[in-house]
Amino acid sequence: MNNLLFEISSWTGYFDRAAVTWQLVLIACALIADIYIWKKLKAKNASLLTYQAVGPLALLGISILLGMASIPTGIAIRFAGIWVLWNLLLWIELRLIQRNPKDRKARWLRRLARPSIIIWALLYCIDRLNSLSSIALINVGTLLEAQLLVGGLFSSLIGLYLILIASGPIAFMLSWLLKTGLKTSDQSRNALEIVIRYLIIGFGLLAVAFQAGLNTAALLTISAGLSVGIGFGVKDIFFNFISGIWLLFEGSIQPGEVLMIKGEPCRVNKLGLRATQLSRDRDDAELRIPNQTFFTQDAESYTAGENFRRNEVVVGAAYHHEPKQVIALLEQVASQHPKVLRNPSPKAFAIDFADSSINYKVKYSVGNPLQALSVSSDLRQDIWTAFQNNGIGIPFPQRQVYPMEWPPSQQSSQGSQLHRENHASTDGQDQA
Amino acid sequence: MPTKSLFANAITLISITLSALLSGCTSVNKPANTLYIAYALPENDFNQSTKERIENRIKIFTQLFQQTNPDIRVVTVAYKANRMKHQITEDSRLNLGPDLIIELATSLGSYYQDSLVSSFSNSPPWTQQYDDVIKGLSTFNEKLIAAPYAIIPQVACYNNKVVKQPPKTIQELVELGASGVRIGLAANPAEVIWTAGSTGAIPEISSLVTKQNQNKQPLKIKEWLTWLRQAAYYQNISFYSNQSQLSDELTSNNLDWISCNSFQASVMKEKMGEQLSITILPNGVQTKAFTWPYITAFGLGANSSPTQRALALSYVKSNTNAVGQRQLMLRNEDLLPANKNVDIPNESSKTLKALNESWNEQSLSYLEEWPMIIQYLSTSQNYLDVKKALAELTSGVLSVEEAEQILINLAKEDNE
Repeated sequence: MNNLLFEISSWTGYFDRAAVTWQLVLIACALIADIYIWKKLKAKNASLLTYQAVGPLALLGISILLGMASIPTGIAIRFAGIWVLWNLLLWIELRLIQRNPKDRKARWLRRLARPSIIIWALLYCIDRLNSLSSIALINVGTLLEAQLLVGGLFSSLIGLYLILIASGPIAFMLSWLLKTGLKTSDQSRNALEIVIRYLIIGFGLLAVAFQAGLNTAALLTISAGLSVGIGFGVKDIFFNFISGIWLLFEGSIQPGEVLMIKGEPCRVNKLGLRATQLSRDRDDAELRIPNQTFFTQDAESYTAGENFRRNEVVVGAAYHHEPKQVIALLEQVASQHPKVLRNPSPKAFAIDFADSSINYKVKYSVGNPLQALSVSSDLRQDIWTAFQNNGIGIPFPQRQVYPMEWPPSQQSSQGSQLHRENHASTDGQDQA
Repeated sequence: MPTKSLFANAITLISITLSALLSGCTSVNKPANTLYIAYALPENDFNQSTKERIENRIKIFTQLFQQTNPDIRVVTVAYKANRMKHQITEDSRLNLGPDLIIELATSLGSYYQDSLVSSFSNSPPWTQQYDDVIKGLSTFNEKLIAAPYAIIPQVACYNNKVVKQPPKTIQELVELGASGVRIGLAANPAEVIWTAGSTGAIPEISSLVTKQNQNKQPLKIKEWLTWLRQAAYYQNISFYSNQSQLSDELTSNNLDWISCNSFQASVMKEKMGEQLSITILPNGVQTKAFTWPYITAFGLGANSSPTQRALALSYVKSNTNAVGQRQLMLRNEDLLPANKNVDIPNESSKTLKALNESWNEQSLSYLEEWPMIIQYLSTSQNYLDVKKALAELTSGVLSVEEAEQILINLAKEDNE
């Protein structure tokens, strides 16, 4: 590490050269002026392109002009070039985000293109100040009996970053190809995508470790040691990890599936290695449930074998209506709803002779389980309208409320006593 | 706009870091003077151990320099040999070129042509310390553009367990091969041209350039090419593209006798120990081998500040004056001093004796021919054409006559 620090600190020796120092001053002035101009233009609501272009282009123009006058400006020109490129990509990215906040191209610009420019510029600077191949041979330490050279370490980090960001699209493409080839379902494709992604990351990490020159025997020994450590120390995390792998391979829970969590329907969004990510239908809240939960507790799935959900609406009709007519009407209403599946077809049943009505139940299926609530609401409204149009009443118990005084007053007490006596004498006459 | 501020923050952070480095790594008020030295490593041997070996040698130069300049920081930068010129060209465009370049004296000419190095003054301290051959190799348009500090002579390296008596002539070399000893030769022009000296062809190659004796048949060139062709026929004589491969084969015990240079010999010594012996390359019956030494030299970088230039000159002076050169020779057994005023203690070791004989008795026996041979092989295209012709001759693609014609035509094209 000391060697590396020595190399980096030695770059300051270039300040001894007037041609270098003055260019750094020019760049610093350009940066300060850019911040000032940027604030001014922002106050005047200038376009994004204007205040992104003015600084770097001004530096580039001045440097080229000075260069034509044989004044050394090589550093300034290259800095301005990188600055222009950076701002151009930034401008494209912001334009794409303005059009669509979730634009994929913008995401790639942010994740790949702009970091690439930074890394390229960094490597270019190091190559000019020293020599990349020379710096790459500097030893910064030892890991697992392997010497860590700057070059190997840097390329490993870059490799790791590329593996992490590229594994997603590659896994998507491969799973899509497999889905097309094997004609599997969307849910299987999602599960396959995750498995492929983690395989790419796993093998990628191993490749990076080998590339960095790590000792394979030492790696195996450490893995064995870690296994024991994991067993005791972070067993929950490890259990979740194993559960995640198991769930992915078993396919018992797949992205897109709807589960009942604490009585609420929730859709599985992502099956992670530690936790499963779900969105709750009621309030769109995001739930992260450790994978081991699905191993240790009951999980109710609406969509384990099929994608639709069976639901029902209970309604009462007056006794004097013909039940067959009511049942036919209920089935007709349910069948006419666009979100109710034709197959299995809706079925109505008379289920109870209640106090004031005959109760009916109509059972139906909806394609999207998370729409069941809205469909049942729609159906209740449609049933009310249909009953209204066909003169079918929905009886309901009526109550009469008599206000009472307590303790009863003398007059009212005598009155009520008299009333009770009259009532009793009437009953006696009736019985006679 | 967060990204904009991110960029500004990054720049500020870099500025602060650089300032911190500046303040942390220099004395309170006075910035440390730094001298940047660039050197090349073979691209096929660009690794930590080779880098350490070369840097240990440069450390000796630096110690000599720091005896008079103790507070100067010396930074060495290693480049891959095939990329060094390109890299220094790019660095120089940004005024970040090195202050000193360690290269072969012959290669520094092309650096000078591309304004990557500056010439030394022609004042006596510089020019008087070299003999005419070295001066000729270091001069371009009558300007001294390289300050040689070491001669790495071409010699023969062999496994003394197998080869009891090294061959003194190329005829004996062939006989040695016939006796079962595995011999390796390089097809690279600079590394195989010693055989042209042993077969007496050097004066004829030289006359191709000077256009003397144009009507006379170049019999000796044909004799040289015929010897090469016949050598290629022998079971135990193999041609490789360069001497690096030969040294690898010798250390791997796949060859028993090879042509090598003294620097390679010191590297091989570490692996082979006492099994390795060094001697001069075989002469001819009447003529000496035309051994091609590597003359390593300092070149002055073109981007130095006045202070750095003064330091660079001081560095070169410390290592090329007679005292410094003697110190270098005593600490390194694998090179000869470039300064003519330093005596070589022949009797101190067999290796030093072999190096001395290779340079003083073989190479310098061709004082008149050297400039012409360098001129003949000076352009990279000529060198590549000769290399191709020799490779094709030793692999049987070209006949001796065809190869001879190519060599003659190259000289004619140059003269035209």
